[in-house]
Amino acid sequence: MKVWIPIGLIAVLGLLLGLHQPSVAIVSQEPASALTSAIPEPRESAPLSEAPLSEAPPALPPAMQQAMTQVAAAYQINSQYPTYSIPLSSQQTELLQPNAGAHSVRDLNTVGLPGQLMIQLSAYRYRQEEPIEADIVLSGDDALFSQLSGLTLSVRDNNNAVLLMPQVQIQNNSSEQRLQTRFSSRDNWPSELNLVAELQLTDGSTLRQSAPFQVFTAVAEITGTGTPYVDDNELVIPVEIEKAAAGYYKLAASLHYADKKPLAYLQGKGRIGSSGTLELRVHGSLLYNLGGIQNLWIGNLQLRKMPEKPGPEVQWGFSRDDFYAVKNVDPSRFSPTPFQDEQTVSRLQFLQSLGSPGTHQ
Amino acid sequence: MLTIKIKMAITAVFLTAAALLSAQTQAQMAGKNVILVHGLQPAQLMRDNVTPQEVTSDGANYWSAFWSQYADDRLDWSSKSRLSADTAQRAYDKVMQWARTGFCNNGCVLVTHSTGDLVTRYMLDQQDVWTEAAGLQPLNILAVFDFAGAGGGSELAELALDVAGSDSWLTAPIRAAVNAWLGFTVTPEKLGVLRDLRPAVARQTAMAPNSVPRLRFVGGGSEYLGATGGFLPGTDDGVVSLHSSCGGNAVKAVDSCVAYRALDGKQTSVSAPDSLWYNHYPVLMGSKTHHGGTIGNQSGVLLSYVNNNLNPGVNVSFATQTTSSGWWLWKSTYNTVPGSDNQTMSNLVFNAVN
Repeated sequence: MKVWIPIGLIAVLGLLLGLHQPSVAIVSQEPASALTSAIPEPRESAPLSEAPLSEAPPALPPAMQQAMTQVAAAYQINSQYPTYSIPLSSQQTELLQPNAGAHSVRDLNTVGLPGQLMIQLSAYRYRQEEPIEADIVLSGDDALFSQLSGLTLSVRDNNNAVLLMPQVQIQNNSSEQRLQTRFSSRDNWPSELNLVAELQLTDGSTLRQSAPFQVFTAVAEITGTGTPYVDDNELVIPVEIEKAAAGYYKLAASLHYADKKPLAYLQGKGRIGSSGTLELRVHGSLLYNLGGIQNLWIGNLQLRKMPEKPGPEVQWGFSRDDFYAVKNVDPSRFSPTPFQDEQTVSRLQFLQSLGSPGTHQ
Repeated sequence: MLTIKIKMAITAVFLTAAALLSAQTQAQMAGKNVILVHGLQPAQLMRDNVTPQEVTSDGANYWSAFWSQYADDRLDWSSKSRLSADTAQRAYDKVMQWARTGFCNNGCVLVTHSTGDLVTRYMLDQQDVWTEAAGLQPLNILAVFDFAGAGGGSELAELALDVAGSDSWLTAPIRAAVNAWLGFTVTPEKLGVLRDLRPAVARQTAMAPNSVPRLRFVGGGSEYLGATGGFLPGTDDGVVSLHSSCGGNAVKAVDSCVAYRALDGKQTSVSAPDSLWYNHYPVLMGSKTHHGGTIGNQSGVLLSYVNNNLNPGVNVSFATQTTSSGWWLWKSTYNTVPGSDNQTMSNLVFNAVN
């Protein structure tokens, strides 16, 4: 017991010191000459205020310059690869799942209901006739479900007009009500739509939660890939496109190892007529150290027809298959030579100049 | 006599040109032309129509607190317009003008606020096609400085759509938050760009990676007396959650742009985006900087910074101010930008790069 008394005293003293923060010790600062001796407290000490604009600018903190230097260093790493062929990790979900459906979660406690409503769509963009699937989960306790008189689903346009009340499968248990639905779009639907879940309470009040999605008529079809070939320090993958509306297209895809782990994100662009080929290029610095002969894959293909002037919206193509094989890639034919591009260099120089006062061009 | 008049005219032209050049030099940042792209203007949503003159005057007023004095041009757009409609046309007209006059030949820097982040991303995604089709060179955009960027959308826009026209008592708290933000009761015909600002829509807009670096300056302060914060996931600046302003690649309730440092600079383990969009670099964070404060007159916030060189293989020395407070188990260490509380966030950024 006696042992705990000094420990308790030390703890109370430490707590007081920690809470009171009578002084702030500068552990390190660099360069010291740029800092004043009166370092302000790190938190909540200075009142928020509206500063007059006419004041002369204060001395510039070196940390700010260094922060800019670090941005330049990070950009330098990225700029070793062309943007049409960048490394891809499993965390870059926005590139690996480019057509991810809306995931809308609302905490109902904010409106006084003890629960949560979630809508998950299977995709964001659906081709005409493609099945549209969604899960809707209302979770909570008795206090929520005792007030609930209904949970309905509808497909609505941007004017809030109901286009469809899709059929649902309902699963109930004590803590949640789950609705699952699967339906197809209609020819006369607009491209922008909302799946709307509506809660009705026993007193007649309602709450809507919507999740957006789009339907499109495909303007082109990716049918396969041609034989890859090596051009300088790049692997060129020709992607074949048919049934196309003539115009300017942008193509994107992910490149994967044989086991489908992500390797690179690729982009290509060009003009095509009713059919044609767009090239995806893999920079050699992403391939040179893969070991022996590789069988790779490209997938998650996204084909956009880009308007050459505003007016028409971006239109979408689709891919016949989810993945296409890229066989017999020989890493020994590539080198680690970094990519170089005049404009990227000028961007890097600009960022570097931000961290080095007096070097602006 | 005629010769004298010609000489006087030529002199006048040169003087005018010199004056313009001088003004432009003063306006530039780091020696590059500066283009401003403003954010949402709720007052425009309220109007039946927004005239071109109003788009211009509202655009100018938007930046009056700080950045207007350093602007060489602006991309003004109407909040009543959808992104791919009138806003795209305005962006196209500007891109054509800049490309034809060589305005960005020496490099341009874009400064955006809030929804201007999304507008700029849309423009960058389209501009290579627009210029190529017109037989012009693409613009040389060196960098974009995004203050309180809403490129990942705002959940408030989602709420606005869901309660537009509703008079149910159940939606009253949501309507109160949306009213606090927009300043009026939202109806379906007053949604405009809010439809594009929903996170699920914004995160499907112009997502292709490009080589333009996006420098992010974010806040976690409260605005509208805290009425909106409860409806935004994680830490927010009153309008935009950090998942959006940091450039996070997914909607997530996070409390910092990086997992090793809180917004106030405290070294600690904190929730952060799992990954950032390509070429997005958080630079400064202010725990009490609110949405408007990032480009306005708010000062008194000691800002923290982000280490962007965590990738192995790069050796960059880094000057820091590391302070500690408390004692033993209660000791905390903070990494902040000294003196940043004596100026506004925008002023600090401008001074740092100029």
